[in-house]
Amino acid sequence: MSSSAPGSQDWAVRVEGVSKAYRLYNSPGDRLRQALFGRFKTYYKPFWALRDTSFTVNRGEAVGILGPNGAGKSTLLQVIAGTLTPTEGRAEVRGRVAALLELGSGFNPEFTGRDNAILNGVILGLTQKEMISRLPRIERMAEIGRFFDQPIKTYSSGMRARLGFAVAACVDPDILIIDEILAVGDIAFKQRCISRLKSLISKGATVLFVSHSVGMVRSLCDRAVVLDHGGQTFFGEAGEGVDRYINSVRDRKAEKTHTKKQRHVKTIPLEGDIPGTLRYGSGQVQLASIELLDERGEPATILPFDQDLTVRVGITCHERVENPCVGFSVRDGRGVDLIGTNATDEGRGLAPMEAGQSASVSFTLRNTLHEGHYSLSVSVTRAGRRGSRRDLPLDHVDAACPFSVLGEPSRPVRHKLFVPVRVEVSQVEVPAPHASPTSAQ
Amino acid sequence: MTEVAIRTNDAAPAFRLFSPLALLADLAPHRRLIWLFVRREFAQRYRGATLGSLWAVLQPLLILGVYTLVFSVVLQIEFDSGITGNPQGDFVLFFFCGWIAFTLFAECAGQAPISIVRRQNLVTKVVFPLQILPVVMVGSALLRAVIGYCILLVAVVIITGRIPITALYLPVVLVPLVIFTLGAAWLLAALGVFWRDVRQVIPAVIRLLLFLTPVFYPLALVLRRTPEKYHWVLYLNPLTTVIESTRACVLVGRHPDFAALGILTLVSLVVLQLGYALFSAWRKDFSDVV
Repeated sequence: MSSSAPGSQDWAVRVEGVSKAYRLYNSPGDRLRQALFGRFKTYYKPFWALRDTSFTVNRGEAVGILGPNGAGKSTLLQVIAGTLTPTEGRAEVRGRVAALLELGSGFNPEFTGRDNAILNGVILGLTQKEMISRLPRIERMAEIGRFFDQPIKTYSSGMRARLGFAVAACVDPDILIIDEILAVGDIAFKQRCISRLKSLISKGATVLFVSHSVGMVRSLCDRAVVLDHGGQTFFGEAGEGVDRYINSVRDRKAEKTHTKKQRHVKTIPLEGDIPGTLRYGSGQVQLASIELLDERGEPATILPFDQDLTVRVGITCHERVENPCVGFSVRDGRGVDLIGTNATDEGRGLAPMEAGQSASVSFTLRNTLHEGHYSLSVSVTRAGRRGSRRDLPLDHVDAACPFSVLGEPSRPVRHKLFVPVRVEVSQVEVPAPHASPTSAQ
Repeated sequence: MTEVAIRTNDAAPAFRLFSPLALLADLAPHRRLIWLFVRREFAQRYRGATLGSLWAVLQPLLILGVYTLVFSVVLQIEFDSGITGNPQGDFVLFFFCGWIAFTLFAECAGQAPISIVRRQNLVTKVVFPLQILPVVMVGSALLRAVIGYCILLVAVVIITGRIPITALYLPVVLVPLVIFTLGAAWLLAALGVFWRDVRQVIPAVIRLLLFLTPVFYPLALVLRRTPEKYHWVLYLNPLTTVIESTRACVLVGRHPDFAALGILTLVSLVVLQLGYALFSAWRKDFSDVV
């Protein structure tokens, strides 16, 4: 407990250069040939589901694993859980691992929920006695009523998920690995899962969590791993991970559009240091600066509610464009665009621009946002042409100027945005015995 | 200090695969789980049947009845070994001695190729000591064999009115059979994961083995009728020694052939270790193909 390097006691999961290749054989005969003559010749094609992944998860930390389908998330979890052998590298885990890799994993459909709960616990390393003492808790948590004593084959997928989660949560794992199973539960179940996960984490459990619900990752996880095509593209703070993931998905969409249009559109390399996570465009007109200003015209990152804010965008022209259009949107932490417009829509379209010319556009609006974290998406496009919305923008950047909005206690915003609402009340007065004439005041 | 588990692709060192100590160390911590699984397997077999686990006794009795009917009553096959003074009664007992041992082996060999594949959940979804699955299979078959042997002993008492003291050697006779069966089960289980063809071949092999094993006939009969130079083929079959020894100690009242059993035990231990080595070396790739 004492001798190792400082901090080294705190890790729960350590992944070092883990890669996983599946062997794809053309026929079972090739598999036989590989087994017999494998040292002389290779009879399979390797498929790399995961490449060179490295990260360390500390005890009591929750880590989300994000990535599009086929990115290698489940492979990674399976390697950590110990059900898949990595082809290269090593994964180390410290403590009891409970893995929920799929609905009702390890469940024997012929036996009752109660039997399966005991069996699952024993597989996870508890004694039968310990498991029996936990049964009432599992039964309460699963909330599947009398189905608890029915064979699992009669369960719905939601019931299996409930039972699976209840068992995994009640064996007090040191490390809990969850692969998207919460997706099938209803909202109440999900919320119970989250609160249960939070209490496990607060007791020092480590959670690894794959979910396509970025909201869940954001609310639950401290850090995140982003995978793409088997490669690890990010490991760090969860919020940033979610942004990266959302952007990579959008990036790919944009790339698709890009390659489609590329044949017709000449592109100019984008110049200048515009802060933000993703920038793309054909570059005839480019963003030169993006500023977020408060009511006094000072650059700001914290903006109070119900004051004016200004987005000032500077652009430079590299090649003549007939009808440049500058637009922006305010994006919330979950990647939802809440407010936004462009100069053309507001009746302030720009004049044609020649190479070398520059311009500045300011948008000023009342800050009606709910308390929280936001960022800007800013773009220059060609306006007015039919279908122009689908065009590749001239220059577009996401997640620029991150900022926070402070709430105003005297004027609470219940939902994402405040919009002035006119309220009229007509209340029929109950005739009171001593109706006071002063009430008219 | 909590335990650290390491997942790598490093091959297990050869000395581990071929060490009987490693084999034991791989099973001993899971003895509770093995016992739990054996009981469940046993329970599952009779689940849903009205008579429940009574079938564990009824089924061998029924099979014994069928064979008695066909061979003793219809075909009137006789073994005149002078145990019961009733040649047809002799046959029933001789047959049953062989049938129990053969069934134990045949059931395990038949199920082994799919024993891993059919528990897909345990391979891909949870961390499970897969090496115990063949052990569970053999254990559950042994449980049923033990019931069979109990029926046999009762039948011996009923038919002959006595039971030889040498019947106490029966557990010793079964040791090499169980070891050999488990070795074969590990081997076939590992092969069956990668080549689904194995399970197609096995039934034919078992059928052939049935005729090469003195189940329906006493060994002496074959020895009398075949040229001596082919006798080694019969002794190559480990079941032959086990079954003949069972007959010797339970029916005839002779000591089993301890020399033959000793050699067979050694051979079985080699098979066991080989089966374990192959299974352990390949198991890290099971989840890639199951």
